[in-house]
Amino acid sequence: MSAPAPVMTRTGTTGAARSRPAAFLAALRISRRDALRARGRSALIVTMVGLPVLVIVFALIFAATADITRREGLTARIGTADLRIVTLGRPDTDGRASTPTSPAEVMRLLGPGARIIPANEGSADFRGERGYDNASARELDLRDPLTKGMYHLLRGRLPAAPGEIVVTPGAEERGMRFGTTPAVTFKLTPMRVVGVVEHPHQTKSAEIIGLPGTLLFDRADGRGTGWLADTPKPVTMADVRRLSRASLDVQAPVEARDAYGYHDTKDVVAIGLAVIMGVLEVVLLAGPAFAVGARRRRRELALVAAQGGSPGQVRMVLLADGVVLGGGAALFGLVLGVGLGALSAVLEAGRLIGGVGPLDVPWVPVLAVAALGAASGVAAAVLPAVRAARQDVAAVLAGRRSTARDRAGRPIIGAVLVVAGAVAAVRAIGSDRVWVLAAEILALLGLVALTPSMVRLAAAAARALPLPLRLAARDAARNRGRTASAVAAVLTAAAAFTMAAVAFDSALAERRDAFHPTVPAGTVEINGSRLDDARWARARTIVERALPGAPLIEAVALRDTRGAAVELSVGHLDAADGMYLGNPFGVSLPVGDGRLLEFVQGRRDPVAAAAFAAGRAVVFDPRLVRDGRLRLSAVHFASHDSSEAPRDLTVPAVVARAADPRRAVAVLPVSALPALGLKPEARVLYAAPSSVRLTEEQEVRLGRELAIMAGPVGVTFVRDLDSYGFVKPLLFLAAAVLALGGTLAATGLAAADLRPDLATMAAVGARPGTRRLVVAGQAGFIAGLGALAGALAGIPAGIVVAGSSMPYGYRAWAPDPSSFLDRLPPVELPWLFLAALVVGLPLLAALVAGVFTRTRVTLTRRIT
Amino acid sequence: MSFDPVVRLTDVGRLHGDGPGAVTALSEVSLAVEAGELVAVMGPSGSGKSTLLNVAGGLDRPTSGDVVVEGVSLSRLPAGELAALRRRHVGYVFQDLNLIPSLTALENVTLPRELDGIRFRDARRQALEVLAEVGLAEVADRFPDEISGGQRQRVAIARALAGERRLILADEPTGALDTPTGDEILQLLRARCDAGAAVLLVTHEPRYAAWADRVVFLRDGRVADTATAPLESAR
Repeated sequence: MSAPAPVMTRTGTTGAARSRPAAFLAALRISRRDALRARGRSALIVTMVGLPVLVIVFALIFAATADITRREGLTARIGTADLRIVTLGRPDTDGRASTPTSPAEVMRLLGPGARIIPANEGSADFRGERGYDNASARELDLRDPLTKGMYHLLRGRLPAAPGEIVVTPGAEERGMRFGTTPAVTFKLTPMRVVGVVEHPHQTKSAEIIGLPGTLLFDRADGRGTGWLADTPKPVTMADVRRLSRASLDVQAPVEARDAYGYHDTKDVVAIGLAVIMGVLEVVLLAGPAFAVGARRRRRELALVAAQGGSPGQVRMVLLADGVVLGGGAALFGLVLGVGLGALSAVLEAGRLIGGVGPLDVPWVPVLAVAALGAASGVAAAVLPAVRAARQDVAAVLAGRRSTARDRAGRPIIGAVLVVAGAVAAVRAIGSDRVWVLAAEILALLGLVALTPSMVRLAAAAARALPLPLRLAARDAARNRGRTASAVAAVLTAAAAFTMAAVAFDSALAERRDAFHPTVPAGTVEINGSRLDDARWARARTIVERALPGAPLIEAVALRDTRGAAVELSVGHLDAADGMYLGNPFGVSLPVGDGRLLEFVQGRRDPVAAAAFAAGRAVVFDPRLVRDGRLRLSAVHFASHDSSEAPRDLTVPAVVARAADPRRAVAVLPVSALPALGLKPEARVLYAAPSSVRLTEEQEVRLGRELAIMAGPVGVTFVRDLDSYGFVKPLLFLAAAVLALGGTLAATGLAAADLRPDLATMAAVGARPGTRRLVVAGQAGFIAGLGALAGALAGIPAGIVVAGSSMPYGYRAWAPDPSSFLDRLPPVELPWLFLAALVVGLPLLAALVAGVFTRTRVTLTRRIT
Repeated sequence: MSFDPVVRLTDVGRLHGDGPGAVTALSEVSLAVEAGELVAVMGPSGSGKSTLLNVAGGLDRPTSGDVVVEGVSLSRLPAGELAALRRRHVGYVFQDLNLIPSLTALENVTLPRELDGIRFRDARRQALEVLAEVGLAEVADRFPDEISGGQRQRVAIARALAGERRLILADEPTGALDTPTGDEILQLLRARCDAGAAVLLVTHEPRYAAWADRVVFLRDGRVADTATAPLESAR
């Protein structure tokens, strides 16, 4: 053997200047050209990265444009005046209003030389074309130059006489048409609509504007009274402070500074979590697409290595792909997003949500979103780049398979993260929901790190499957690096959307359980217990006219011996666990005759009717009856706004079955009242759901008409809870799009890798169908494993989120709201959603992959 | 001709796998190629010709023995320095698909220099010179799929010679070409040799081996025979 040669000393320079960026520039050039050559793949990656950037940038601009800042909205508030003053009506310590309420007092505060005009605001009832309604009202002489810019006149003219008003298009839609003469305010004075004006920013608002002293009569406390003022000198901050001390709210250019957004830790964490989830999903989704590129360019990368490209330089070529495609996509999203945002501002698209403002581009978040998009693109290219740099160059150049092995991921770190995240999530239940989500994302990151191990275990379990599926599973496991990224993408999407669906269903169940009406859903309850006979008769007439042909079931309101109104509700504290049984939130207990019983029970029940006739309460929940008696609690209303402490009472009761037990609690016969020391008073009407179909608008109008015409009448519309049926299909759709995207990109990659095996299968006589099944099996494996693991992770995550976000009711009534684990909140699993996710989605992925696979055999060069 | 050979293999062995399933690709191969020398390697399929070329350029590492290129022993070089040695001293030419399709002929030639940190402006000047030497100055800005197979191989040879490189490892460079074009490539390689390059050429065609100063026959990974100035008449 010859003497050892010296370790490399020659550098081989030719005197040319060396610079590090040269190699990177070369890598960028290769990436740029390749991106243009592989247009389909580039478009896919640009969409994956660029579309979220576009949507978020547009949403930010749209929201900022529609959001009118104090400075932007100043002209709409004060016109060309120097300031606007509104009295706050804040009483001082001895209860007297100290705020200046007369023009003379305000003039004294403003000093000599000022001119003021009244500008009052409040609300006014009116009877328009479609009945009674209510709108914001302003008293303002719009002809005065000080009001210029506060409204645009669209049609007609401005009010010039006390009986004239102008309205906004929103008010016009509610029945105050241009040219009509609706009756306005509780005096129902007819006022002529002489014009239509539009608020410069709030295009959907319903407003009425008339001359001072014609619309607003509810300013007894001085609230809402105001003036526009023209001052000889510009208003200073000192003036503003002086006027504020006099209980006046001041709006002037000098104080109209835009409030800077204040973010507390929770907001920052929430934004951080959204960023992590967004970047994670983009990285996992685009990862396989980059891997496809790396796989297709394996020989090219091997050539780079053969020409002296170091592993780092080979990595750089693929990272340059990330820079070119990620950066390009982010730029595309940014430019298009800003362009669409600008276009929507020009076209006043804000009208759709009733907010029109000048174009406002919040550059810091917009650029941050674009930068994040670009960073996600580069991050997605990291793993494929690392794998490509590890490939066996000689093997690739010789056309053999690269023998570089995929690593097993980081199972220990993953397991630690999952356990830590799960424990932290459960411990965070008492605190804000954002901390629960933070802990869950930690666990999710752990699951992503565990994915390669999951893939290996799943493939081992595939031993019993038929050949094509077994081959697909084995191949997936042998190429864990490729498979794991796609499985993780599916897993992340499935977990996030399962969590949302479980939390959504549980919250719905919680609301449903907390809401237990005492009468069937759809019933209209009219309660006039505060009315005298004459007003009640008037109210009845109005109800009969508003609900023509509807059978009205009479019930009674209750009074005690002193004549005070009384309301009864039912309830027992359950001895076993201290839970309150009964309903704290429903309509008060119905009291009446046999017809009422039949109406509430929803069916004819002679046994219950007999007991009812004998003076027993009929109860539809057996837990409420102890020893044949029902416990009631009574609230005595001594006057209209103060009530006496509840008094517990019991009455004899029988248990019966209602047609819909969720919509019935108990009915009390009038004959049971004397024993309770109560007197009936016919002041309640129920309209049966089958006969009444009111729109929400009609309900509001009926309530308003009763209030205006008869006085304080309680009108209650018992509705079924909205099940928001569109939410879960939307969640599933989002999960499906993300999961299919990740799965199909990875399956395409697998199909390319499998080509020699498919050729071998063809050579030994496999039918095209079998080869198709192998590729379909790959897609099914990826989507199935990801969806199953994601759903299994998402269910407990959703339960924890549900537990941390119970709005009221359950936690309020539990003896110890923090003892979550002892007492689970109502958990409802979205079975259909889960079935579609875990079974339907993998089948769909397999079907799509199977249908679109090329099964023509490509002769593969095999040199060993 | 310089005193040291450009590449020297000493008792090189290459075993694939280990244990009873191990396959011997090369065994105790010793070989030196000096500047100005064209050495052809012949042998049946699986005799280890390509492995020999991979080992000689540092694309693959021997399991025993030592390889010295331009006075530098490759056995203890880390991957990064091995890559650096390749881009400064070794040029590979394969049977086909030698060029990166998204780069022009000129950019393919500048690639090793750019990877080495040379600015494109400087690398371009050198590359144009080499392309002119192989008679391809006029296709410098064309992409690989816009030029003929023979031109592609000549671009690959130009790339192998760009900068200070003088070792060409050519693996069946004529395998995908017709005979006249193949002859042209061999002529070019011979000319580069005569101008001072060292060429190790793997071929299974005796008519091309005839251009060599020396022919090494491999069988089962061992040097079975060596012939000097063979088949002179075949040129």
